[in-house]
Order: sequence, then C-alpha cells, then structure tokens
Amino acid sequence: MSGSMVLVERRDAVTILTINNPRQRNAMSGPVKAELIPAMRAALADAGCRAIVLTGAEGCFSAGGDVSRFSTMAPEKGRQLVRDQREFLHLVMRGDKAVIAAVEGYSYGAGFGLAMACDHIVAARDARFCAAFNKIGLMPDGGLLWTLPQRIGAERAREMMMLATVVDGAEGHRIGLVDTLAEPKGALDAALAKAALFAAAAPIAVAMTKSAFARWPLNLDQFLAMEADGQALLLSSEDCREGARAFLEKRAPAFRGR
Amino acid sequence: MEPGVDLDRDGDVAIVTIRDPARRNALSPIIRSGLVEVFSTLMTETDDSRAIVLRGADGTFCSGGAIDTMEGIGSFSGRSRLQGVHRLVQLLVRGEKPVVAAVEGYAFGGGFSLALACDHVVAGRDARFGASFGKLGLMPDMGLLWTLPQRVGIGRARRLMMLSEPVGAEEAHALGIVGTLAEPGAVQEAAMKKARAFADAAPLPNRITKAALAAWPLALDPMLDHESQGQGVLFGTEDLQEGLKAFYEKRAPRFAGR
Repeated sequence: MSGSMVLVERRDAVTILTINNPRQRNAMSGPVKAELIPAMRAALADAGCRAIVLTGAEGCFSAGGDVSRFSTMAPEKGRQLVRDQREFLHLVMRGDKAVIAAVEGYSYGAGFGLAMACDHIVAARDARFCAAFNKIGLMPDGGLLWTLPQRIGAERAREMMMLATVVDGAEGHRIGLVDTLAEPKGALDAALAKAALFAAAAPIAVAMTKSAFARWPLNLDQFLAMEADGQALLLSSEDCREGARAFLEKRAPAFRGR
Repeated sequence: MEPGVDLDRDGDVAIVTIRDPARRNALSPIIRSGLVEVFSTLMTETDDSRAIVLRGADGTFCSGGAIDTMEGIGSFSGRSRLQGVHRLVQLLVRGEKPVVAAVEGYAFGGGFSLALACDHVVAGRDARFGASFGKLGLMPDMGLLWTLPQRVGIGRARRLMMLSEPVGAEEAHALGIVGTLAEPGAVQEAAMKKARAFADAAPLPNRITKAALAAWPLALDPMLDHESQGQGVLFGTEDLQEGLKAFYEKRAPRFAGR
C-alpha cells in the first residue's frame, strides 16, 4: 500500500513510514498529512507490526510546515492547520507501539516537533535540528513546548525555541536530544536495528509505559496508583509467565502481546 | 542467618542493610516488610538520625523483585503487593531525612527503583543499573516512571525503560543517575562521607526542600506558595539565628534542628 506522499513498507515486525514530498523537503503539507494520518493509524492497528520507523525520503526528515502557504493564510485556517497536526501527534504519542524517528538532513519546525514526539530518535551525525518558528514570526508548535523541555531540560529548550539555534546530530546526542547516533546516510539502518529491539520487547509493557509517559506530568501518587493498576494487569498476562520462565531457563523470552 | 533488614548507627547516620545475599538481596516479602518497618522508625521526628545510608549485603545492592515469589501471583494480589511496597517508596520520597543509596554490584528492576527513590546515589565503578521489568513482561514500578525521567530526561528514560537496557555506573554517572562514583571496595566509605555531609547540613531547610521536591511536578504558582510558606516557617527558627551568627563570625554553623 503506497500512496504518492507517504510510502509504507513492512519489514518483519517493523513498519516504515516515509514522508515522500522531497520537492518541498518533506514539508508537512496538507496532502502529506492526509496520507500520513491513515498510514499511522493502519500501522497501529496491524497486529503483525510491533514498532514503527518514521523517516523522510531522499535524505531529509522534514523541513517543517508548508511555508509557501503561510503568507496568505487566514488565522482560522492556521489554527486548523495546527489542529490537524495534533491528530498525527496524538497517534504517535498515545499509540501503543514504539515509534522511532530516523533523521537525516533537516528536522526543522513542524518536522522537529514530529521527531521529538517519537519514543526514540536516531540521527545522522550531520542531521540538523531547529525550532525555526520564530525566524518567520511564529511560536513553536507540534507539541515542542511539551516534549522539548522533557528531553533536554528547560535551559537548552529555551535557547533552541527562543533563539532558533541549530543543533546537529552529534551535539544533539551529547545533550539528550538524539538517542542513537549514526554515520551520514546510516540513520535508517540504525533505526531499523533499534526498531527490531523495540519490536522484541514485551508489547503490553511497552504500551503501558508509553501510556504513562503520555500522561506526563503526574505527581508521585498518581504514578503509583497507575503502576499498581497497570502492573496488576501485566502480572496476569501470558507474557509475564513467559518472561519469568525464560528468566529461570536463562533464554530470551518470546513475547506475544497477550 | 535468616534474611532480613539490619539497622546500624554511626553517630547520627543510620545504616540500613538489605541482607539476603543468596537471592542477591531481592525484594522478597520479608525484605519489603523489614524495609517498611525500619524506615517508618527512622523517618520519625523522635529518631536521632539525621541521614540514612541504604545498602545491600555482600557486594550487591538489590536485584529487584523476588522472581521465585512471583509464581502464580494473580492480578489483584499483585496489585495489593504493589500497594504494600508503595509505603516504602513514600517513606523514601516523602520522609524528611536524606537517604543515600550505596550501590555495589546490581541495582536491577525494583532495586533500581529503590536507588532512584533515594536523594543521592553513590555507586562503585563496576556497579550496574537496569530497569529489567520488560524482560519479565512487566512495566517499571516502585515509582521509577516518576523518578527516572526527572534524572535523565525523557528520551533516555524511554530507552532505559522500554528496552530494559542496562547501564554501567560510569554511564549512569554521565546520565545523572549516579551522583558520586567510587572505586570498587570504597563504596560504603564514600556513601558514609556523603551521608555525613547531608547530616551536617541544616536539617530544617532540607526537610522542606525534600517535601517540595516530593510534590514535583507543580505549576509555578503552587511552587511559589510552597516556597513562601516554607521560608516563612524557617524565618522563625533558632537555626536561622545560628546560621546568621556563624556567617558574621566566619565560622561553621552548628544547627540544632530547631
């Protein structure tokens, strides 16, 4: 199933979603979003898919919004644009499967927000991240005001958002923006290797952990109440029995998500 | 010797030792209830201790849940078990005395959570930390979803928790999990030194600071309320007068905790 603006490929238990709008450096245009949202929904619903890799075609993750439309955009249209973006971010952050961003080239503006919404960020050493919004008189969107301080702390988040500083992959790895560093042109392969690990992890435990992160911030009591309920469910799962057996038999567990 | 939890004292530093080396100091029911009992005593106003060291016997901190006691556990009994151990988490996080974890060998699963519920982690260079829950098909518990992202940021927390990736002490130090690195064999000594520093610090401000950190995350205004009320109380203490006097006389203050 391949549309023109988003390419979908399943490799074993990993689904690769590729934004394929290279003429606009994979900007999150209306047509891209129109295909990306159902593609992500389908991957989340696919029982054979256990992890999702999100990337951009031709060596560029996503350069942001479709700036060509901004100069003539009425405020109410702009608001709708950001709300559409939210639908996709919800699927990434509230979905039950790990999403890994494979970043080459630019991850700017809305494309930066997209990467930061993912669970794990793999980037080429020379990839470039920037909250470019205020360069054109806009504020950060794509959930960045929520995700970025959690990843890199308040001080660095302020600098990136208020000064639109550019951070490359290597620097990003040093400050916690990037989780796995790859050589130039190697981000997708590195992301697939990482995705295989996420795909092998216990699926319900991954889903519960993701769900906990998506509710951030909670106070300690709220977290403890949630973990008691969540762990109760997991303790009676087949996967937990398999995990305990595998541990005692000193072998790798085979989780089935039940 | 039967497994149990030991309490020793060195001046105003209390030393709590998890002792079940045959199970690598796993959190079996007897250890859990022993820890709750000891910390309930230590955290009271009337107890003379000013700082607490938490360690494991025979060169291992704590290997987490006792897997041999998990066999056949149902979801609701599992939930009750979690709620029981939450008393321990609450005592460590909300108790108003500083706790230093002295980590040798392994701090895995619930043992990792236990270390991170402490105010400061001292670890031997050869110690290892791991949120190993996922290997058993379980989600992180004992407050780790609350403590770990605060220390390492959300990207690294996701990696450590969703992939159950273990980290050595040196990496843990670089990530902010470990506060003080010690040479193997010198962990207990380093932890005592740190605990003494906590014991000598003004106790009343640290009680209020610990309570404020336990309320994390708060919005700005509730945190400012916390601060104005706490500081108001501290302005009325003898320790403030002593602190001011010592400051002008250029000597070290002697705080009485009043």
